[in-house]
Amino acid sequence: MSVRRLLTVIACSIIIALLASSSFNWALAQKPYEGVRITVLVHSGHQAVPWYKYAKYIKERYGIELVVVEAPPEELFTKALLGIRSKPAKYDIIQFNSAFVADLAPYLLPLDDYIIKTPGEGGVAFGDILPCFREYQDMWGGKIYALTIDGDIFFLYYRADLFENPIERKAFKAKYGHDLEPPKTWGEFLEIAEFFTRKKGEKLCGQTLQRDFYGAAFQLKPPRVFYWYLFVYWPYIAAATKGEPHYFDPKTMKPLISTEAAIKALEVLKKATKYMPPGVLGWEWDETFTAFMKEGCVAMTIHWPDEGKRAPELAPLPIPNPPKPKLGVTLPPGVIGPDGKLYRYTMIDAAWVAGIAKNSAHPDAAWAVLSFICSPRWDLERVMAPTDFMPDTGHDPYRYSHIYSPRFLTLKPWFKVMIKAYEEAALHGFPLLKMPGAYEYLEKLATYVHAYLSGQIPDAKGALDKATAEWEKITNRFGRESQRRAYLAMWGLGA
Amino acid sequence: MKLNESTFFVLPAVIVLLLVVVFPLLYSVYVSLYNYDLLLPSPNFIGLGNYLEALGDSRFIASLIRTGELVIMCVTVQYLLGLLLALSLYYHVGRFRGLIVALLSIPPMIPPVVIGYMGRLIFHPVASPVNYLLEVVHIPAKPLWHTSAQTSLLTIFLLDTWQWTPFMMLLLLSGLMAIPQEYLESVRIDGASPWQEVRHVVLPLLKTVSVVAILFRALDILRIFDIIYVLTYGGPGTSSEVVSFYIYLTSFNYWRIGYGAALSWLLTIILSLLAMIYLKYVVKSF
Repeated sequence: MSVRRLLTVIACSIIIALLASSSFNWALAQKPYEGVRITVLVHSGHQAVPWYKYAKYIKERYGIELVVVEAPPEELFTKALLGIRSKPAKYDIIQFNSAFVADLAPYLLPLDDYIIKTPGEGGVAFGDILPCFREYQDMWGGKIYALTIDGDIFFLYYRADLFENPIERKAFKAKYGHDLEPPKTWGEFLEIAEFFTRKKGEKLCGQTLQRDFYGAAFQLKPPRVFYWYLFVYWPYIAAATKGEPHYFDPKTMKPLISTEAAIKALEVLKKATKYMPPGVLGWEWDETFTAFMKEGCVAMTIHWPDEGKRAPELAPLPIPNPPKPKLGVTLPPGVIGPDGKLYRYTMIDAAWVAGIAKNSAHPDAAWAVLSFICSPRWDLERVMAPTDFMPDTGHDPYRYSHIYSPRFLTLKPWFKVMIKAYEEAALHGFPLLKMPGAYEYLEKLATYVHAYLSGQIPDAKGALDKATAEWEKITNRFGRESQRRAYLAMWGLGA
Repeated sequence: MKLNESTFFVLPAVIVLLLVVVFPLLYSVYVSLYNYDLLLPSPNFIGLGNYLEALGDSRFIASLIRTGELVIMCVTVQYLLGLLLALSLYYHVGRFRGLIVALLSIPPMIPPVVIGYMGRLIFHPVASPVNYLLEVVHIPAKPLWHTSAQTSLLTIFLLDTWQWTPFMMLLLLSGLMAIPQEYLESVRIDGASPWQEVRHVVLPLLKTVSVVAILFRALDILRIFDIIYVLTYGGPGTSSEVVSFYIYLTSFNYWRIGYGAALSWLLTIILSLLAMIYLKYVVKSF
């Protein structure tokens, strides 16, 4: 072999080797976590569906094997806490209720750096998440510990077909001296609820009612009853203090739940129950949804986005010739303060978020999985469910790109009615308590609120005084100063 | 003690028993002496602190009293109804006894969670079939059942009685079937009336079965949980909060594992005392 030929063969070999090596690196770059196993603990049932669905895409893109462990919601926190405390963590990613973030934060990986380092298509577009979810679900103590996977938020739903009926509008104006409009204040809410509460055989829209009709219905079975109390409590407290509502005095950690404004709020809630179906104190989601959407025998309710997502299911009014059913959506009512300002809030439910265990053996791979599941491209599929691609997930919209998505609005055009309400809710959203013992605080509040609503405790002050005493005990058990710091952290003021 | 072959055969079972039964019991005593709280960083030894706190916990005391009320109501009514049914089946139903027993055995086989959901439908305040029946027989009252503080415990009692009376009946019927026919024939020859037969022969011979049946049911009702969880969640207010439910809330909703263990042990002590009294005095005088 001549020297020239030898050199040519060597040069070709080098070129081939280089090409092979670069294509090998390219392949590696395509699947950077080949062989890595990521375990995720999720809410069992429909909430687990997308994790299974996306597992094969994650495997194709990253080479990661996704192991999904399901747990019922009542077991999720204990399993998550014990699982991420261990070294290495038993679960790399956990789904949890954001109310528990204070207890889980020491074992969770802050995601701020990952979010900054992963812009563009591979990222999670954190700024696209509606501010109320960003601040109150995903962040704690000024750091990002989780990403929203379910945009649970509340709206006031009303029967627009009823509110627009000329006979009813005329009768309402004659009785109350002002136009029938969706209620902006709790005072107006009580008026409208009273106005529409009628017995079978009475007239509605000029026709004979075929069944009893009620002004409102809330989901008042414990322990969730505290949600509906807080809808009234927040604006009353805010109006009384002419500022943002609070659960505690941030300086002393003295509970504010038995102040004059809080008592008034509870009395208003009790008054509202007069215009609700009998037995409403035992109602859960299904009874509330059924009465409002399926039976059409309720004028107003405050509920999650489900009614809006399923607006075509709204039943006609229970009269012989009902108008075409029409759903109206707005914010829950507020209270006008002595300063003339309308204080109005809705609840950012301490709903489902997902975070990465600090002790995860593969935090980067875990981030790859989480950012895939929570990327705008793929989480749109989750919140649009049920669709042909994605079965029911129970996930609600939580991004600007969700509520304005042309695909979403083409697929579910009736959701347009929700856009304005979402925009308002993004600004008026208020969080549930997020600090150690949060659930215990709220459950005990629920117990005594319910005791008053059911007549077990005869006066609102007595009930709230008892709740206050319980709150003080919890605060003392955890330590007043540490709870104060946690309470401030909830508002982003340092953990 | 002499070790022999049999010891080695028994040993595995004893080890399993120690691990599965004795260890958790001892561990729960240990835990009850600590302020073991899943949400607090590290548990501290507090001695009898949890027990002392429980004695001053008005919600715990109220739940104990409520549980006592439920046990007395359920056991009394279920025993009397079960006895009545068992006697009816024993004396009056011949050919169809097997069929009736099979049908009545269905409710105890249904999981309590299902009973709870059934209860939500049966006692629905608006669309309740029970309220409809009351209307049919011209009883104007429309109770709110589990959604009212006044009737929530009554609703749980009704559901529990519906489910477990057949069980009581089955136990008592099996006791009746075991009575030697000669005893009954001899009292009949002596001219005893049916009431005298039942009063002086059948009931005394049912004593052992009755003791077991009452004890079984009482202990079972003390553990009642599923129906309450599904139907009332202890409410309205705390009107149907029984002690097992309160212990559940404390341990698994407030995550106060140490305090929950102390509550469980207090309940165990109270139950043991009551069972001793029952066996020593009530059963002896039967």
